[in-house]
Amino acid sequence: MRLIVQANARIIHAISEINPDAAMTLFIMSEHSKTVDIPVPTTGNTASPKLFTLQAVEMATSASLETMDVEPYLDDIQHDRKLRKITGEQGYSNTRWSFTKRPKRSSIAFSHRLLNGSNEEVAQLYPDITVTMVWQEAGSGGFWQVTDWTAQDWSPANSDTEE
Amino acid sequence: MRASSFGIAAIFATLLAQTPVAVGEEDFGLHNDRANVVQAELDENWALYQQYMWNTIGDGEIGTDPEAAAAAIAYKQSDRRTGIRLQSERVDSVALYQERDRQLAILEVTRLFTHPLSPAKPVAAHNRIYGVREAGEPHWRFNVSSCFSPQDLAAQFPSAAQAIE
Repeated sequence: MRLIVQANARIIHAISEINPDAAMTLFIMSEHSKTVDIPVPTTGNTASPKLFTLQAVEMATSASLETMDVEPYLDDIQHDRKLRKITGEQGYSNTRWSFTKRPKRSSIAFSHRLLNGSNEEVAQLYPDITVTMVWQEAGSGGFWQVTDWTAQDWSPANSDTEE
Repeated sequence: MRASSFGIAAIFATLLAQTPVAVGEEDFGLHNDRANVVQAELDENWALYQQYMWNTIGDGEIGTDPEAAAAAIAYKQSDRRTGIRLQSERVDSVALYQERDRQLAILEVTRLFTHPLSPAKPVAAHNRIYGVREAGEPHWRFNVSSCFSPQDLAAQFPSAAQAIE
C-alpha cells in the first residue's frame, strides 16, 4: 500500500535536532509522496554508510529534491574512528519506519540504528521518533498530515565509545 | 494508404522472420489497443484491463499470473482511494521490434494524474511500457510496471535488448 504523507519544514527541523536521520527519512517520504513514480511503502528503511547531519536536513528542506547536494553535510561512518570502532569496517546507518493506521489518527515510528557488516544492530545514536498524523481530505482522496511528534525517553548508551 | 502499408510491413515481417528487425511505422493496432487499456483504467473496468496485461516471463512464455495481476489492480484501486487517479495518457514515442513470430513495442508515455498533495495541477509521470503481441493474438498486451525483470525480457528480444536495458 502506498503511504501519502505531508510534513512541513518546521516539524522536520524540530525532529532533526533530536534525530537528523529520522528527520531526513520523513522529508524524503514527504517529497516522494508527491509523485506517482516512487510510491512510499508503509514499512521500509533507508540505509547508507553515512549519517545525516542537522545542516543536511536544513539544506534539503530549502532546496528541491532533484537539485540538493547534501554530500558535504553527511558524516562518513567509515571515516569516523569512534563510529568505526562500534560498527567495524563495513558498518552502516539504517533508519526503519513503520506506519500504524487508525481511523482518524495514525502514526509512523522511526528507529535509527548503526549496523555492522553482518547486519547486527550495534549502536543507537539517536532516540526513536514517532510522528502522529491526521487524515486530510483532498479531492477524491486524501493524505496523512503530520501534526505532532514525540521522541523516545532515551539517554545515550554509547558513552563507553568515548576515547 | 494505411491498408497498403500494413501489407508491406506484413510481407517484410514474413521475409525477415529469421532476422530480428525494427519494423516500420505500422503498429498493428498498437495505439488503438493502448487507448483501450487507458479507457479501461478510467472506467475502472478491471476485467478488461486484465485482458490487456502481461506480467511474467518464464521459459520463453510471456504470460499473466492472475495473483500478480490482482495485486497490481488492487494497488491501482488503493491509489484511487487515496486520490491518485489517472486523467490521461500521451504516447510520446514508440519503437517496434519483431522477433520471429512475436512483436515488441517499447512505448514512452506521459501519464497525468490527480494527486491529493497537488490539488491545483496534475502530476506527470513518465513511464516506459512494454507491449507484446504473439502471432495469432487478437490484441497487444502491456506490462504493468515493476512486475518483471527487464533482463528476462531482453533475453526474449535480442533485437531490442539494448533498448530494454
